[in-house]
Amino acid sequence: MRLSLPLKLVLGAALLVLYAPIAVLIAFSFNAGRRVSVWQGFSFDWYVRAANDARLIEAFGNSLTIAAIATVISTLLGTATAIALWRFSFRGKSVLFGLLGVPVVVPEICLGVALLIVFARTGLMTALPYPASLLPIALAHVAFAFPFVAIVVRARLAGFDPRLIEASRDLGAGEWATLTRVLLPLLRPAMVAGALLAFTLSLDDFVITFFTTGPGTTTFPVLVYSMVRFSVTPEINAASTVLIAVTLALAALAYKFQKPST
Amino acid sequence: MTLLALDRVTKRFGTTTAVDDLTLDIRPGEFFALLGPSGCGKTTAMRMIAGFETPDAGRVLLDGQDVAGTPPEQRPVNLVFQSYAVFPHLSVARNVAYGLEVTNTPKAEIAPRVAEALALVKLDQRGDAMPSQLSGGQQQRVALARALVKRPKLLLLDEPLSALDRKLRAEMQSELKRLQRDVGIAFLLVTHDQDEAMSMADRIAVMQAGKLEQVGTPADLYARPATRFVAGFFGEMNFLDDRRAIRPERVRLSAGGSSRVTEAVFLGDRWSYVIDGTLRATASTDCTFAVGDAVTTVWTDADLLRL
Repeated sequence: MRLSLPLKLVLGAALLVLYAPIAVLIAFSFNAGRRVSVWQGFSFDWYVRAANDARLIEAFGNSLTIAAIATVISTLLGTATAIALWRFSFRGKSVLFGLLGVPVVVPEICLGVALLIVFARTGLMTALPYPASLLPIALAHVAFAFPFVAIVVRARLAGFDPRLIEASRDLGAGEWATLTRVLLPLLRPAMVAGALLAFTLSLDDFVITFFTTGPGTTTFPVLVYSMVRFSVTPEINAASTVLIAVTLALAALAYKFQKPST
Repeated sequence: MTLLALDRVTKRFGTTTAVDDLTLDIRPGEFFALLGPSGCGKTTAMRMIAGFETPDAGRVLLDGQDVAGTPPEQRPVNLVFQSYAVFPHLSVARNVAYGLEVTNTPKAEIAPRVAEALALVKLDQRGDAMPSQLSGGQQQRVALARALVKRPKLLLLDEPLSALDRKLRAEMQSELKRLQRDVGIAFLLVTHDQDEAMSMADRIAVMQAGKLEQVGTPADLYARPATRFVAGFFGEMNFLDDRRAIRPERVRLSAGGSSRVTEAVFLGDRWSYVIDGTLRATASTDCTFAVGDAVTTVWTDADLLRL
């Protein structure tokens, strides 16, 4: 069915509202001048400035480190949870499955405050020196990222033929060999998709990170927030553009892996 | 001599008894069929032999040894699944090698055994293919090769032909029979199709509602059914009363008399009639009647089956 003209206009307006700000942000990262609203010519100056800004680079490195740790833990925990929910029947199984959805639907601000109280009470926020202080933040990210992995892996398991597990055992493989040679290889696409999802969620998380970072530890989104409170410079545009590129690339990869391959 | 024995095996699921006091024995090298309608417990019996279900009572003996507590991976028994359950992420050759790799068979031994197994099922040209590139019939051959390469003492086949089309089914029937003779391994075929069991098996066990009805050669079961269920399960049967039955081909017809032909169907090699609305009779093509013809039905005591 072809779109009628009014529908086309609505669609155009929606796309404009959604994507024009991002396009402007990216465009002005290449602006030659300081202004973020007046075009003064093309240059890579702000990318060079951003690359030479030690605070930005450190924050970016922190974000990547936290995301990497959170991704590894989330993927292991999420996959294990999904397999447990699929393979075993036990008391409270449906409750556990319901609990998986909680971090997904609970407002992030509430989770942030809750984690802040726990971290402050236990001294986790200030106890560790940098860079060990990144670990509690990564754990906070695991709390909201691993259910996403579990949900993606579980979806893949729903279409999994349990006879494959029996066939493996019938052919002489024990539980461990069956897990590593049959189950995990077949779940790999879902695990990769879940891992990339966890990585992007962690990388650009602001709210929970903001509540759980101690003094002296900054992530990229938190640093950008503190920088724009003084002034918005094209340097932030440049750094944000890099973040957008990284996130989009990972999201595209996740999408590709999530499509059924066989 | 007995290879596998089920000794008074019972299995319940909740309140239903899937297998009820089943006693069976399978001899080395024989082609044995476990036959019955769906839900009769034959698949549960097979899964207990493979080790995927544990009997609630009774024993499963392999070579005289009770295999209770032996997990499936340690039983010298292999199963060809109804859905084939071919590993989709492994090539045909890797699928066949799987059972050898996980049991730490020496590398030098794996390749020739895989090649031999693939040749046995005529897939030697397709070793590098992925399962998704194969037809259903070919996938089943992979499942067969994968089980046979393990050189089991007993091969279990769960409804192996049910997913194949008619032409392929007939082909696979004779192929399985040939394979079984070539490898000399005992086959246990689980099926609901009496023609399949008849054409392949040396001996057949008929099950109904979890219970064993009768064990015997196909000829035995056809000529001397022990129960009314077995009598009705193989081919067509006329039940005259509670105790007596007669096969349609044993009913002889002659022209003239008090009975009437109420149905006449030409089957190519013979005619199938219904006399007086109930009695079935088959006759050769030179014995032709039309609907409405008067006939007399004749049989002797020797033609009757006593149940």
